[in-house]
Amino acid sequence: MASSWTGSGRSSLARDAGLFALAGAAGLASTDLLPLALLYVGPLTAARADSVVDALPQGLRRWRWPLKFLVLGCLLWVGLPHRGQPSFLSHLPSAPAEAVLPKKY
Amino acid sequence: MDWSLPVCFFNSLALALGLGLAGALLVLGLKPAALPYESLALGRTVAEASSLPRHENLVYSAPASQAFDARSWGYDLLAFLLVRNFGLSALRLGDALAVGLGLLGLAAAFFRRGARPFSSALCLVWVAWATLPDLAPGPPVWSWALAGLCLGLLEGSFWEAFFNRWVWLAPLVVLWVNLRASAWVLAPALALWLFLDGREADALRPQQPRLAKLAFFLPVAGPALPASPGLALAADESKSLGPFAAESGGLHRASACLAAAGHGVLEPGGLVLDRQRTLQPGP
Repeated sequence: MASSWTGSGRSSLARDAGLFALAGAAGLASTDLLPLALLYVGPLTAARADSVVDALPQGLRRWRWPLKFLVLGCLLWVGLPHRGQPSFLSHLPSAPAEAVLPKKY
Repeated sequence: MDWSLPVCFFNSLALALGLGLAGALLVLGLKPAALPYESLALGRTVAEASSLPRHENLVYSAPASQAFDARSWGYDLLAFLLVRNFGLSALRLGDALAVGLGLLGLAAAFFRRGARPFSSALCLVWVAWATLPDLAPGPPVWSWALAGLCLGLLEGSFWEAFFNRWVWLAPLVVLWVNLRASAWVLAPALALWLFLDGREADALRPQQPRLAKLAFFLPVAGPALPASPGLALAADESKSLGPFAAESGGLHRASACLAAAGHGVLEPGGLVLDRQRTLQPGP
């Protein structure tokens, strides 16, 4: 939403809003369509976040790298296994015993 | 001190690491799945008939009028031919190839949207991680990869992409529609893209932009529409209806041609051998 006020964000606002609504509706309607919705949302998020950072005052822009590393740290913290909590991979169903292919398939 | 070179190196390294990490996440973290017996059986039926059968012949209890399940006949045929010619590992390699192609398309989309490399790498990993629980080997992965490639072609300056890259959407849509019914989602997305974008002044903008958009939309997105789940529920026999897998009409010939072409490409002489085999007298 903040990127809607930036120059690059405003130029494609109608298209992005329409496609974001479609992606959201498709992702909520079916888990089959959720990966396709995420495909669209990924580049949208990155480009619009960058446009917001570029529009920040100079004093605040120096904090963009610590902020990015904070996001990376959060991703790693949630994604990687750590003491007391299982990895997200452990939530995935295990291979059925009758599977012919290797376990990773 | 000039920081441009270290920053460029750091960004490139971050993007390469992000792509690698996302690829590894998707290839190694995919949900385990049993051998796609149903796809292989359907693919064998299509390969042996050299066309799409009209009626269901795998389920003994199915009524004689039940239409053949051709919703993902393209994948069925491909999977059967791959397993027969190269073994089971070819399926796994095919999925890994699809992930790679999808990530390349996605990386192109990040680049064409103007996202910075580090943000792109972060969001690539996030997309891969968030996608994992709902992605499975086989048609879902291929559908995801084709969507990524389509997105990579679609993004960028509108009229430049429209005239230079969008033509490649047509073969991707044909492939996608015959691999997975979820291709219908491209039709509304393309409609929104076409009619909400491209209004700004551009040297490449034609004099009749709406006409150009309509002339592009109808033949490219049209094939995706009949595969929609809504239509499949509305008509009794439309379970088998993809635009290139119709029971009757001109599109049926296209489906037979595609099936024969795929069969011939992967196994030259296969059609002839099959026909000879059926003509041989029994012992």
